[in-house]
Amino acid sequence: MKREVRRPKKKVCSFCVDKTLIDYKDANRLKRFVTERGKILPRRITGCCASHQRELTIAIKRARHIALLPYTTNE
Amino acid sequence: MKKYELIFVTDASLENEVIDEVVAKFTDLVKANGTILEATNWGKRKLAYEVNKKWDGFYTLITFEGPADFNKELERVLRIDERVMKFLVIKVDDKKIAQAEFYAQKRREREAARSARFAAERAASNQEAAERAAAAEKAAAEKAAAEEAVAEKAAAEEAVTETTTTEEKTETPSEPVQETVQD
Repeated sequence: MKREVRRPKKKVCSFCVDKTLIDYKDANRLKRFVTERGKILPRRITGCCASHQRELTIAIKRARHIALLPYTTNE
Repeated sequence: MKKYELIFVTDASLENEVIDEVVAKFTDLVKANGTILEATNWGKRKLAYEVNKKWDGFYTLITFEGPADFNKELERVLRIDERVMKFLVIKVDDKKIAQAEFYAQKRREREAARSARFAAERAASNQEAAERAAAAEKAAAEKAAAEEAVAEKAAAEEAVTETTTTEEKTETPSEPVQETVQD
C-alpha cells in the first residue's frame, strides 16, 4: 500500500544565503520571524538552519528584553 | 579588555535635561572604566510594551571596551537608577561582525558589477534597436515612395487610356501604400 506524501518545497535558510548578522537591534527585520501575537516562529516555517534559528531566538529574546519587540500582544 | 555593548532605555516622559543628564552619567561612568568606541542616541521611541505604566523610552547605545569585572558594577548602578527603565549589556562578537561586513561588501561589489553590466547591455541593445528602427524606417519610406511612384504612373497611364474608370483605379493602388506605412 502506497500512501501519498506531500512534501513542501525545501526552504533555504535566508541567513545562510545573505550571510548577514542577526542583530537584536534590528527589530523590523526580526518582526518577520515572529507571529502577530509575538511568538517566535518555528524552524519549520522560517526555514532557518539550526544554528541560525538558535541565534535568531536569542536575538528576538534580547529585543524583547529592551522593549523593541513585544512579549505578547492583547488585541 | 573585551568589547561590550550597552543599550539602555531612559524614561522619555522626563525633562530633556534630565534625560541628557542620565545619558551623560552613564557615558562618564563607562569612560572612567574603559574606552568608548561608539555612542549613539536613537532618541525617543515607542516601546513594544508598557513599562512602569509608560509607553515611550529614550534609547542610548554605547559600544565600549572595558575590563570584565566592570560589567557587574555597571549593571548594579543601572539597576539603582530609577530613571533607567531597561538596560542590556552584551559581549560583542567581533569576528561575526567582521564576517558579515566582509560578505556585505562582497555583495555590494557584485551588485554594482551586475548593474553596470545591465546598464551596458541596455545601452547596447538600445543603440541596436535605434539603428534597426532607423533602417526599417528608411526602407519603409523608400518602399512607400517607390510604390507611390508606381501607383501614380499606373494612374496616369490609366487616365490616358480610360477616363471613365480613373476614380476606381486610383483607389486600389493606394491601399498597399498605407499598409507599408503602418508596418
